[in-house]
Amino acid sequence: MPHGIASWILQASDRIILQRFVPLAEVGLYNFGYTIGMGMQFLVMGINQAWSPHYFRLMKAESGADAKIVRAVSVYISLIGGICLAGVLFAGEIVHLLMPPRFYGAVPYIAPVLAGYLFSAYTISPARRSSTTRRQ
Amino acid sequence: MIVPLLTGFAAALNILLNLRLIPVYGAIASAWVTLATYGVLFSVSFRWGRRYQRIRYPLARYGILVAMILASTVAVQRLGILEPWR
Repeated sequence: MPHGIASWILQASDRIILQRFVPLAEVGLYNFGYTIGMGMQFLVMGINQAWSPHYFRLMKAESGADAKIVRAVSVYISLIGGICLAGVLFAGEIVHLLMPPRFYGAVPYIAPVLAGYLFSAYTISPARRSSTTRRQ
Repeated sequence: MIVPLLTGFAAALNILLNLRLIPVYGAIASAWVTLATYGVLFSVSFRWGRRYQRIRYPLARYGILVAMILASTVAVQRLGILEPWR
């Protein structure tokens, strides 16, 4: 529960603060860019839901588990990193293809938010890893 | 218990940086603050988590990928690559 509240504050506080200092139209563009940028989060959540049972099973395994975990984590990091890199490089093209011109102003916001959510995606692994190890 | 504390610290940092930088640089500051905040949260979580890890990951390779993404993020903003889309 405290983690959920802190996560919500972390995700939503910027738009609440923005409304005080920036025109509402710009807040709307920022919100659109932010939503595109955090889109990767849905993939990350899905992967982690699928990965958790395998991870805990591997943690109980006696031999060969470490190599399998390293391989899976490497695939995860490469996949998420590749998607993020493509998003950073082609954010303009993506918005141009999908949205009308009045949304083009959102493009500059996408790359930093996307890179931020890359760190968010990578934070999940060490946090889960450490909490699991501690319980043993 | 440490994870909510770290996230709370990141949320407080996010609010402070936004209040400080948005009035000066506008909405784009908020996007960069998002990157900075999640970067700090990752760094602190990673350092804390390593104390309990027994698995050795190829961190240098992961670091190269992250460095490429960060360099690309700065480059697309600074080199005018986004100009056609503004």
